[in-house]
Amino acid sequence: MSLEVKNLRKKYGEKVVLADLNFSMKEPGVYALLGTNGAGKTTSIRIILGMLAGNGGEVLWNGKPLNTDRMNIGYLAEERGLYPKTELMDQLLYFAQLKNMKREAAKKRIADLAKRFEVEEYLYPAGKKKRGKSNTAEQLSKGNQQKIQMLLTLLSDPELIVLDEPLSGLDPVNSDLFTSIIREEIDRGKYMIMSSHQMNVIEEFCENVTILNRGISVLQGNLNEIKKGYGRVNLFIKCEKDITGLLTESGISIVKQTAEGNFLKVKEENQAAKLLERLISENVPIIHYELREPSLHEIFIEKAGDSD
Amino acid sequence: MNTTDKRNPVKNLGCVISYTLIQNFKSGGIKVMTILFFIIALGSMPVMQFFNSPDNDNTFPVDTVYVLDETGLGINDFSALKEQNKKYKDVTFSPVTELKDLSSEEMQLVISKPADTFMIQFIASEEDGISEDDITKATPDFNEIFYKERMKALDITPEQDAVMQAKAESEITILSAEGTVDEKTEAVSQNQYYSFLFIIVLVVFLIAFSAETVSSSIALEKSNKLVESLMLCVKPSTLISGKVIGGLLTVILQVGIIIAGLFASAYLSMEIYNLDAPMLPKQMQDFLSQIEGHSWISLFIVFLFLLAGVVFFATLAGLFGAAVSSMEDLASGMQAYNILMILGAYSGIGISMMKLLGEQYNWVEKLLCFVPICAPFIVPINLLSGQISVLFALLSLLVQIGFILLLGAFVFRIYRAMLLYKGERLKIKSIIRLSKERTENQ
Repeated sequence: MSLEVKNLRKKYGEKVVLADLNFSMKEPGVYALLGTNGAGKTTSIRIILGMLAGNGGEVLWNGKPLNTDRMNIGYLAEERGLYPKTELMDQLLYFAQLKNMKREAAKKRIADLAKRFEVEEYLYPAGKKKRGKSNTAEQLSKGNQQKIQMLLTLLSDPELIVLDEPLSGLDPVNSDLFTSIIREEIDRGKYMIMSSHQMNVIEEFCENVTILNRGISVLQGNLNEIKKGYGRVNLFIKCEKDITGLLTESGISIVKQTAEGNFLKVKEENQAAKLLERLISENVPIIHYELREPSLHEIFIEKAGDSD
Repeated sequence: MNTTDKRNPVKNLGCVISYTLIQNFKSGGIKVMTILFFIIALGSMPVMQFFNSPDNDNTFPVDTVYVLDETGLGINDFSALKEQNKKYKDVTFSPVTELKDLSSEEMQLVISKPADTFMIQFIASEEDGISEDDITKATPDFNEIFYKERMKALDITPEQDAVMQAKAESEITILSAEGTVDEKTEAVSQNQYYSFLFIIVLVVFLIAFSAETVSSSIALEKSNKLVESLMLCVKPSTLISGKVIGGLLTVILQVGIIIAGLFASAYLSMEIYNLDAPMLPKQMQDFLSQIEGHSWISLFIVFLFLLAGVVFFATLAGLFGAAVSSMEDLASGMQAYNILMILGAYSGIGISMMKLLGEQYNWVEKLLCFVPICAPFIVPINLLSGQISVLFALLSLLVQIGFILLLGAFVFRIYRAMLLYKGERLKIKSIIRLSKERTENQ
């Protein structure tokens, strides 16, 4: 199976909100769409899913135009909700019916997912179970509502899963639960498109990313290769005495100085090595020395940080 | 562009309709209202019977009635009462020539004619257990039989009697200088006028029910951010069609339940009061007698027009639901809807009043038969009062259906354009511009 997004474009009047988005997924995994608010992530997802008409381009699944009517897709929208006064079970069965699932199969799948998402007590409350009544959405906390929405996304066991900001608003416990469930789905060979502001989550799951800025793809490719391309230019040093003068003399830019240590940016790895040699030769006691690649967060800030 | 919507337009329509219908009936407001109206309907006839028809009390504590006729007309047989009302079925009517000593559960009827009036005197013993109230309730029944027997005794047929009883009215006609007579429309009767008002109230009732149900169920999904999840499974046109049809079916079912309640009420009333046929309230009898006088085709067109009116206004409510992005905006948006509905209803009331006053049928009235917000209120009235032909009504119905289709197409466009819109309420001009942009992008 493969997913190909080719030259996707969208404009409102004269304003271009998405310019020639291209990416592809040849094997299961997660593809990340990153960008600041208003960068065009949700617009891209809506066009891919056929909810919004684009002004050009195409989306192919296994080499054929993606047809949401024929394909089993799970979508967790950024703007998500539930019917507040309707029983949760009724809502889940309604969506299952819309996705052509048989009632009994849907009930079994709901029971399995309810256990996995730890929401059985709301779908099968002890007191109401005999009458077959579940809780309503308005009786649930925001986090538990989000679990039901994610359950809804995975209900039909979709082959393509699209998650728009899946972890936003979750507490650390639920965030871990979602993360482990996403990991399970990846291990089950699912194709996933994910947009998130949480860079650590993207780094954990995604091999390939696209960073959008004002609708334009500003960086794209394999995350490891992107990082390699930047080189190890982030230097962190903690010494027992102040080395500001030494740093200035060496032409190294100081990103920030805290009680923790000095966060520095070098032009190349050699410049860091020379600094280390000088510190040793001048007998400066070094507590911590680390030269590393930039994080995705830093790359993101560099590429999309000028959006305002 | 390959990412345009290619989903089957009818797929899942049934699913959306059934879900809308079931959830509507599960919602507290509709459930309570339907149960309340059903209970009112169920209790209506027995209660009205109890308050309005004390004469239909099902007991008459008399075994034998002795009839003494002193008029010489020979009216001494009241046994027709046995057929007329079940409560007299066990009573024996015996003609006598002189006053009798009354024993328990016996009553004496003395018919005399002092001067110009007939007098029917009811005599009962205080110890017999027959109260004055029992006799008072029975008096109209005896008077009715006495009137019929009097006609029979004088050999007067009911037709002859009707001729004699008919009121003579006068009309003055002033000829113009040219010697012509101004065309004058015949005024409708008070009963017809009330029938028209009943139709208008019925249409308003149905429209108000369906508008609330349809608009809120459309706006609710947008307000609760469910639309995007739904759009992956259902086409927007299927979604809104399902909502409108589901809302209409809800109202039709509610009305059906209320009508079932009325039938049950009639049956209950017959059982409680031991009647052969339900005793309908006078207003209802008048309304039904108005209906009986029309051809089935006219009545069918009236029914279709009521249905078309409800569908038109439900679709209009769908437009208001489609044009807002939150439930808060819907409340203020529906003010405009209510104004349109009130305008339509007032046009119907105005036309009814004009007919009561005998005003001439004019071109304005004709024109209003083709205005979609007024036609559902006006055309049935004009058809039932005989001021428009069946053909004219059919033409008006076709125009109304045309407007429904046009409005439906417009609502689809607006719904699609506004589905993913979030923000402050837009003016109608901005909504139309947005829908144009959306269409151009397809």
